[in-house]
Amino acid sequence: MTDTGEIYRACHCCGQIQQLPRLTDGQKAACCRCGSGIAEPGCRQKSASRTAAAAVAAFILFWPAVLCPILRIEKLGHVQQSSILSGIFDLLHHGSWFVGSVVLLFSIIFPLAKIIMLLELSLLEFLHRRHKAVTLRIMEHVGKWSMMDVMLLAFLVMLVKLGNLVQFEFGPAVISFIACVTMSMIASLSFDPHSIWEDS
Amino acid sequence: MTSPPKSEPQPSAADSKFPSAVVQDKATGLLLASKMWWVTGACLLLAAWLAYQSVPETGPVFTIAFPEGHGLKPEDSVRYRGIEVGHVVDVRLSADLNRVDVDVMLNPSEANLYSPGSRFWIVRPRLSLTEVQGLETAVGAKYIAVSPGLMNSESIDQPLGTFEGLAVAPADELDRGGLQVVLRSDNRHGLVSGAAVSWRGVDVGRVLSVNLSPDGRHVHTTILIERSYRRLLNESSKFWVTSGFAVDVGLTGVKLDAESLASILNGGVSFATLSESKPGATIRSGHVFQLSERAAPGWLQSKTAVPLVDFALPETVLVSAQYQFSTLGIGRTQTFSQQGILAKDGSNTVLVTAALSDDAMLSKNLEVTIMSPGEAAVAVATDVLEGSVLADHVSESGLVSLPAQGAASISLNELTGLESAEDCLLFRSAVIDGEAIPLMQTIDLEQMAFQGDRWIFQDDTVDFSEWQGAAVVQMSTGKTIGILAIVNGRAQIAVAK
Repeated sequence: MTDTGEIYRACHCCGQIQQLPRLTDGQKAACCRCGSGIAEPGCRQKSASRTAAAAVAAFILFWPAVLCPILRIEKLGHVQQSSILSGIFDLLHHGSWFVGSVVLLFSIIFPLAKIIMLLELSLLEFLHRRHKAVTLRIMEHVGKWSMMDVMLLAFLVMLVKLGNLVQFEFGPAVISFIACVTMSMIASLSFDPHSIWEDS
Repeated sequence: MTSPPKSEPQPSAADSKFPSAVVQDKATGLLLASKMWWVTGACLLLAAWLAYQSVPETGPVFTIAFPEGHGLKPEDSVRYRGIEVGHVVDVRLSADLNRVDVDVMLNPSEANLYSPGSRFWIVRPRLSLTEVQGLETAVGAKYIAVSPGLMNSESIDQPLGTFEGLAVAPADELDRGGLQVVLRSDNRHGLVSGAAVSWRGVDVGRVLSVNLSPDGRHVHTTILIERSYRRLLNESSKFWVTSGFAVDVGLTGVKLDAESLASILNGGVSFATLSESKPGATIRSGHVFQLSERAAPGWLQSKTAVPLVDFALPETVLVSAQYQFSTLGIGRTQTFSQQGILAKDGSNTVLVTAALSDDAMLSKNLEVTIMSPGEAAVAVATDVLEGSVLADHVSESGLVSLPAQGAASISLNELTGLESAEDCLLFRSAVIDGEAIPLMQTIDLEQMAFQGDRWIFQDDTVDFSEWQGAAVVQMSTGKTIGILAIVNGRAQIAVAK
């Protein structure tokens, strides 16, 4: 905001800096170069609310995705059923410390941390913006390493590769896993970092 | 600056060094912010549903103590009659290291199996020279089989404590209603568990176990006689060993004597019954017989009749009919025979049989001879009647009753058929060397189907054409309830109207 009361905004898509005109009810701002929507100051709440809604959904779905049985493998009459968490503990238990901790870190801890930080940024209004900035910076780094979607790909590969060898079916966790990945992606996409520095 | 998508820039932006953003109409009405929260709500419901789904249904959980674990693992199944009814929750060694405690959870729908007297054993592959059992468990998972005890659901609320698992499958599970008797001998004679017990060379049971007597002076062999053959045993039954083979080398050559290949490998026991059983003196499980090393000469020649059923066999007669027909002006005589029974119809005696062939029904001069079984087959009646008269005597289900002479023990109106599917026996007679002999065929209730208004036999392994007119006897009561008639190629129970 400048002294003259004019508001300038960078388009989050193409980076074009432009002045935000005064909007009446029922109007919204769009980039003059690329046409993508520009969040107006008053709309911060909505963006945050949207992010928060998706993050809360992802947070709820995260637990059944991790705790419910995800795979049921039947091989020659032996049935084995495991969730992501119990699979990781099995790995650690059998001495595969490296693989176990890598999976634990990148498919449980980092995704969970990312979701919690999104929740914090979008829901908690009273935090100081400096604190929020630190959180945002951590989230930017952690988010790169949160690889739930990669895990989903791994299951798919297994389905194709082992299809004829053993009989196996997906458990209820798969549904919540897919939904959780989707919701956390929506949350991080709809999050607008501008809202951190917004004073209104 | 490109052309603005919608409205013109605001005038106030003209003197700024940056272009002004475009003003558009907002999506009115619905708040963007609130839309996403609906999705959150849906996700909450989904998560709740998934959590509910993954909470396992809890049936009764209890512990079975087995002497041996046989590699049983958690998640292995508990099966009853081949169907999964539960699973193993945990396998652990008991505190005193003497047993394996297996925690088992039954499905809620099969909670009835958790009852006093239920017995559990681990099915594992068993190979012997004569048979293979539980082969699916050789490569696949082991499982616990269960035999239900008392099926009263009231006692389920009270804990029944730990069940004692059996080391091997219980004998009666394999053949319910069989007879277990003990044979006492001085030597084992090569008998092993599973060896055949035979009557005139027919396997009627098997050896369950071979043990020493408490004082160590005798061998006690427990054998099981199958349910359908239990009447072969009575007080005068004699048992001998048929293990191995006897070689007799003499001037005339070498004579090899053996029962069967299985009895050479596994050993075997034969028995004969020397005299008819006294009424009321039935053998119960646990009876002890002496096992001889070889048969006494008289035993093998014993011709004692031992009925396999506990009721009087129905008196069946052979009906042979002769009729004349002409094709292209050439007269021929056709003869055929079928089964029948004599029955009382009021004060008269009637011959009850199945409908004759269509040709016979249409012919004149139908000559029917009834042969009564006995020591010798004797023709008791010969009637000449017109086939068309016969047609009046055919009931809807294919039963024919003809006037006849002779004594009858059953009444025609007893032939009322069955209320529900039941095990039945078919009786017919055949003549060998002038002597009439009874023949029997068992029909299980599974092989019956009720179609329209009659019972149909569905056993493809039996050729029923020889049984046309045979007596159908209810196994539970021993009553003759109808005769077998083949109508449109299907064997059915024909009843009197």
